[in-house]
Amino acid sequence: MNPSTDVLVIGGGLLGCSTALHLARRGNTVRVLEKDYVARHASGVNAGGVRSLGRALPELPLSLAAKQQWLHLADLVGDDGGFRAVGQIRVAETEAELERLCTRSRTVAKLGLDYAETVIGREELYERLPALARHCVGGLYVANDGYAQPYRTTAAFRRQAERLGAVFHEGVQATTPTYAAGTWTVRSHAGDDFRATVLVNCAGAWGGQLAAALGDATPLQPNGSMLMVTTRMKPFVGPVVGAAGRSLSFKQFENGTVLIGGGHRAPVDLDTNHTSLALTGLAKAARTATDLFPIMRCAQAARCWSGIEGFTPDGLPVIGPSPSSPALFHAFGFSAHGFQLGPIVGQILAELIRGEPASLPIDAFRVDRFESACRGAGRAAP
Amino acid sequence: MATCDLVIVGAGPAGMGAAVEARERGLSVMVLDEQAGPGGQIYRGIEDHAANFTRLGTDPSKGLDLAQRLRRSGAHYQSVASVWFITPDGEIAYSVNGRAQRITAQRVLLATGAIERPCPLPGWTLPGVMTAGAAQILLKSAGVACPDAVFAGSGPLLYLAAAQYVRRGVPVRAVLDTTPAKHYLRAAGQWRSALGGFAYLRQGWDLLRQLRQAGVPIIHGVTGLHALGQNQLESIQFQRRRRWQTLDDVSGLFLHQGVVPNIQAALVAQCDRSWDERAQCWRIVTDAFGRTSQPAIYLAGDAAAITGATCAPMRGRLAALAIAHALGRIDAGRFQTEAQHLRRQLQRDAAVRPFLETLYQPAATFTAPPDLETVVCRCEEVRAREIRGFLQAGGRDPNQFKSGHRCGMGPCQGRMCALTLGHLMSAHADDGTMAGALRIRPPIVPVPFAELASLVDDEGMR
Repeated sequence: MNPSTDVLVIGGGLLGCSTALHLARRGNTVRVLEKDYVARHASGVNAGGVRSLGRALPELPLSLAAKQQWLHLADLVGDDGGFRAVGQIRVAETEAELERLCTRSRTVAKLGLDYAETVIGREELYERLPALARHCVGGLYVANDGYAQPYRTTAAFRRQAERLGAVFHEGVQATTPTYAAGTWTVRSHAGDDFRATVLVNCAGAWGGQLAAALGDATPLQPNGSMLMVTTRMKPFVGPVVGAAGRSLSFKQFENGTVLIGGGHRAPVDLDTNHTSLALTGLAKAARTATDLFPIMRCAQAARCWSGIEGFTPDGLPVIGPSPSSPALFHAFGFSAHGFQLGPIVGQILAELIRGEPASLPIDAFRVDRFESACRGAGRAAP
Repeated sequence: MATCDLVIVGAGPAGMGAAVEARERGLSVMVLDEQAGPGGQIYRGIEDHAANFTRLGTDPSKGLDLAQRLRRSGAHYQSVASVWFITPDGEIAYSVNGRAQRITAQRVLLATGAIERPCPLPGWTLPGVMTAGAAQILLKSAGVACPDAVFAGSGPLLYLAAAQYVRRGVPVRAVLDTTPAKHYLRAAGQWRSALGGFAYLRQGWDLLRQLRQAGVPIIHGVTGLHALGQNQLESIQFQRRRRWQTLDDVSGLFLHQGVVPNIQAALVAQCDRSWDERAQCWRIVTDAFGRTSQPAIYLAGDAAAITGATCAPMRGRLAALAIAHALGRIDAGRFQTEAQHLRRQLQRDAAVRPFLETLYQPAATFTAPPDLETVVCRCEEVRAREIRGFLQAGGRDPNQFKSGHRCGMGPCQGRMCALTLGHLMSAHADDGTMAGALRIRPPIVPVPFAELASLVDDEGMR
């Protein structure tokens, strides 16, 4: 039998690795159970965007703290994860879109967070994005946002956690955990038992199933975010580009490949790990890319894929203690924008697990928030 | 969007046979072929260049006959069509002359043929080194030849290509045969299979005789091979009886280690696959009729398993019969009778395969290169050394290696490295079994964004 640990984390994505790292740093013993391999799903195959720009307001304090970790990632995990603070720009194609960006900028300024999303006019926009199609009117800009390499980043968190004593078990699928006499027991499909005082659900798209089995039903919708990458091109765009009026996430890596994401989705299968791709969604993403960057008409799509992610009705993650099970914590449902938050949410979880108050506000992410919303509003769509 | 009963991808012998059969059963058929005319690789350009085939010693009549029957069949034949997207339920996207189109079929038959097994060895990325199959195509379709080239490897195509060079009057420097001696003994154990394919074997001896008569040195028992040169191939070194020898002033090295099913399209369509230990390749899981794990997707010919051009039309017809039956165009009784007839004939013709697969099973040296500096992934320049490091760090899944090292992420989508990566990983596995396979993603071939984006208009959307 495996020796009991302080903490057992289910899910070897960025969140699981980050939680293990922050716990191990504080001297706790921790095991991570991963049914496939570390970074197999959304954590390893996402678009790699690292942004505070456009974050939902409840996420901003977390996102800004995470940014400080990203800017010094090598200090935390011994590798920079390929993070490049090239800036992120959300482009407005019409005056109406620009007006919305202005409103957002004013809203953010009023929060008193020592953080600005800066409106830039046409001139500065084309200075920063010379390859952009000429019809755009302005944008919203954050200079120290950027991108990173998702697989490399997650692997770096894992290695650092291992160096500090955390133990990872890959290819180990957990059955429903049980709690008795102050101890969680998780039996794997192979019949091995893992025991710990505290259990953490970092199971990503599978987190909803696990939470429900432990008494915390959440309306988590698994889905696939489609991405595509080009063959290598000459450098033509520095910052990561989004669009105010359509789905787009657009970046060129140092090796010249251009990655296009932006939320076009396709069905997934949680039981088989199968993802699918919908041609129309890919075509729309390609159309957006060629509309905004005419040079992209000649780009060659080399690979399209989709990662399995869990989406909540309000698009905010679930972070915090379970109201129904003791010594159980959740962090999942990041709805395709959890990559940037991974480093800080692992730290917050470590604080909660150790009985300390969370150093940043997380009340908006309560696991039971959907329950009350459903009851109160008679199942009104959020 | 266009629709039809059956889309056939590829118009080699299997695709042509299937199209003719399916039309006879009343199916509407679209054939998407990447070539300029029907024929596939074996009968490439047969309609226009039948005389070339005769000159190279190949009887063109079977191929011509198939092509003519395809033309008359009423199937819609689309040439120069590059198929780049297939869903498991039969939606296909393809491009013709820079224009992308979509079609949905009730059934899709993939007759995508075979590709040459990658031959990773030190220096194989140098200009002047190519596969024997590529050299053969250059000779057949463009009349381009490299005098005094060395042909190296194992398998029937190696001798065929070298003999065709000789027949065209192009001198061949040497043939280096890497077939391990023990395989001759092992293959002899498959005597039943060998007897069944006697005619086939005689063809092989014929080629050998022609090469000897032309004075081409044939060196057996080669156990190692390096290509050397600064910016292009200059010389080669080969190992025989533990001794290394050098051939200087070599400007062409044509490698061959057999062919394997071309399954990229089937993988994109999410068909299940399994490892074929004797043939040392991945195969899509199919039954005798080419049915796959995806009910809408069928395979025929070498794409399913290497059985050659004689069997391919029959295997195409068998799949077409099964599809006609599945779509309710022929009843069960008729399907059984006609299928049985074809299957008996196929069994006879495929009898030689166990013998050939045993004899020409590539030596481990040439599938899992022992030299750590050997480039494995040509697109991303990943070397064998990195794979060893990954394994030493506890890595077990090739997809993990792909994510971490970009092996297989280039434009060829792992065609050139997936097998080598698998072999190198299994060589280090505790039980030597083949590690998992690389996940293959669409597009099947790179597609320009302008073409992809144009498919939005088809749907009537902005």
